[in-house]
Amino acid sequence: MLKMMLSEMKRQATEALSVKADARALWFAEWAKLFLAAYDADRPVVYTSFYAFPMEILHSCDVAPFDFELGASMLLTLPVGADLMGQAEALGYSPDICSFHRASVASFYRDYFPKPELLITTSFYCGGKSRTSEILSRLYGKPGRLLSVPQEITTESIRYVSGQLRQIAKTVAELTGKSFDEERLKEAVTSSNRARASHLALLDLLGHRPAPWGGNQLVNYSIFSRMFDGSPVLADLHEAFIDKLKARIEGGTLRQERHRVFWYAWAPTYKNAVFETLTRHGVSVPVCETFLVHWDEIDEQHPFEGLAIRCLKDPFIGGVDRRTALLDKTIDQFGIDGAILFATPACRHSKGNWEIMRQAARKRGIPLLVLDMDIADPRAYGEEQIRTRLEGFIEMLDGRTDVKPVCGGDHEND
Amino acid sequence: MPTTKDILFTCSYLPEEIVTAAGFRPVRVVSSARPSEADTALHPATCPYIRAVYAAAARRDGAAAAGIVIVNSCDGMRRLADALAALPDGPPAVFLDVPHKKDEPAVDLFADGLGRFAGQLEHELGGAPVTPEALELAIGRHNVRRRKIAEVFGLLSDGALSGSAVFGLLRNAAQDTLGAADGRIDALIASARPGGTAGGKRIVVSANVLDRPDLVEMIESAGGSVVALDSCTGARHYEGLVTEGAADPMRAVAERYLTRPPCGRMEGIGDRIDWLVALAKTTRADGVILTTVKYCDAWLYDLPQVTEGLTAAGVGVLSLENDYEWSGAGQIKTRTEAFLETPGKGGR
Repeated sequence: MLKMMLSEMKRQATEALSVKADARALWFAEWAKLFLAAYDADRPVVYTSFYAFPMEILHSCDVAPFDFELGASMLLTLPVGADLMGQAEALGYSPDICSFHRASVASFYRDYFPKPELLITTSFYCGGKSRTSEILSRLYGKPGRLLSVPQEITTESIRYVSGQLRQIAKTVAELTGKSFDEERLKEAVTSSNRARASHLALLDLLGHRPAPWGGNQLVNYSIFSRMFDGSPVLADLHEAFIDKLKARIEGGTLRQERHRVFWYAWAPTYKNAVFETLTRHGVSVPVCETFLVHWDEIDEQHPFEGLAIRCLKDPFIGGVDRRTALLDKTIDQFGIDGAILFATPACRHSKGNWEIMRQAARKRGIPLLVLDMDIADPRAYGEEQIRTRLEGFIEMLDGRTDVKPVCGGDHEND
Repeated sequence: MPTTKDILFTCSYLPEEIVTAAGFRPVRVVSSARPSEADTALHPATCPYIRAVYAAAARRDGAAAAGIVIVNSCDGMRRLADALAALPDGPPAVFLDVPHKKDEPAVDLFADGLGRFAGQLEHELGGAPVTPEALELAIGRHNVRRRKIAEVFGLLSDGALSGSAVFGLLRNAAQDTLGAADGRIDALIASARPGGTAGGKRIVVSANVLDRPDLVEMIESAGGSVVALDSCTGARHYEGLVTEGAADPMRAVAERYLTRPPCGRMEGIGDRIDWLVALAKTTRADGVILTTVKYCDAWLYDLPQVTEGLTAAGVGVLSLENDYEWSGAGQIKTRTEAFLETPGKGGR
């Protein structure tokens, strides 16, 4: 089913690109291409966490990467989502664990995913995913590798993480019958650094009032684009979006905007009223935490150490202050007057400290809405309740007399 | 009540030897506060033990302690560390990171981290310097306790001690001074009656946090015998000694903690299954009752495969979820009794 979905996605995106160049179509085309490569049997398939594990390593080898969680998230946009939940629960997986991971396990039993030769996972972002990877490793009967990343950046932790990355790189290369080529990794890191520069330029554009882009699409792009880390595709994608956003800004037809909200964490996969409600009330989401650049340029001469440092600096490692600092940095640059924490129940690392996050936002005069809503299980979704909560939050933003709304045109800018 | 000589802790991966060597008494937090009291600070869909620990700290239950150590047991504990650090009147909180693997590089990293942890005990919490000599002495003392507890577990398995008595001992030992705990252990061993509690279904209780005796009492009142207590304060906590006389005692401590029977926070579902199957076999158990506090991802993810592994080994399994307060005791009792009544080995 996932393969069919990806094939259709590729077909539509390719067709759109044949008519005119479009950043979104390019993104979808490349996304479908990368995932579909895992279904072709010509290269070993390696499962990993696209947004956490350094993809530069996989792009340096002739393997086909696949992320079971992101694959499951795509399936969960379809009505099959509720069935997948039910099947996982019937197998003994608690409804209290992440719905993405329940869906991933159920997808194994339905043979929705390509078969891996190796499963790589990370201790961060999150513990549940690393456990699911181990479960799948045992179900597939294939070896797993854990990248365990400590909570602090020290000389020892950099050595520890880079050592693991070297070992994992060697293991991945062995799947192809070759030695790991560190020169290819250096090229991949060079690609990533080029993409980083474009990424920062894209973020600058998102600071424009009114926002030329944002919302659900931005949140998805922030996570799904990480699959291209280390590939020349990523800089190309960022550049394509830069061109698109510049055209929108120059066109002068951006949508009227009354508030600008910082988005914490992820977005629900099933049909829902969240972003439609925000848009209808003139609330933009011009920036999300997963799209911020938390790393410096990676040392191209010492790529393993450089990638280890990027992992260690991830905001989802260490204390919650790493995350509250992100909001702090963006308030002025992006003209933020509110924040939303998407609190899917099983995401303990993301929503656990809601009160600290609320207090940190309050110190900067920003109200924070904690939006309790499952990321992928549609069964408990109550549309009217969610609308009511969002509208209440928006009224709170409207009631603040110290914030001036920004006006613009009526263009659809998501 | 904790005193200024106490270091509170919440996870069995805290190396107690280091705390002892720094001149403190390690005291496991058993919270009488209700988890719901923490819901304004920590999300309600967070482990109830974590919330109960926060609630206790918020009402200053452990205010007199020198400090509290939060181990990176899980994502939830990491958030507890943040929440405690933000509590204005709580005891000073120290965060201890623990690797998720047990290979040599992980042991090296952990040993390095433990060295810095010892420094924190000294410089931030007012402890004594943890010299190699002090650490070696502490290792010896804690190993003595572990050997005594191993004897207790043997007597439990033989039916010479009741599960309730052993549970009470373990709970006290988690908070006693080494001397007082040793005294209680010796007294319990002396009270053992060979064949005294034999009879009925032989049950291994495997749990994460188990601070209340409800389940053990239910099993015994239904005519069963608890033959092993595998929990954060039970068999997993005491299994395995630290190598004494090692050239690097800090590394020896790191190695023991990372390589002993794992909790679900460590890599290796297979290792957990092997440990439980071996435990069931050596204690000749008819069944294993697995009980987890709600929202414990480290346990919930593994449950189906652990259950499958035990069942494949011919061991009956019952899974129970609890809310730390055991407020659903009536329903749990019914299920436990039904499990014990299943003919032959207790089955699913």
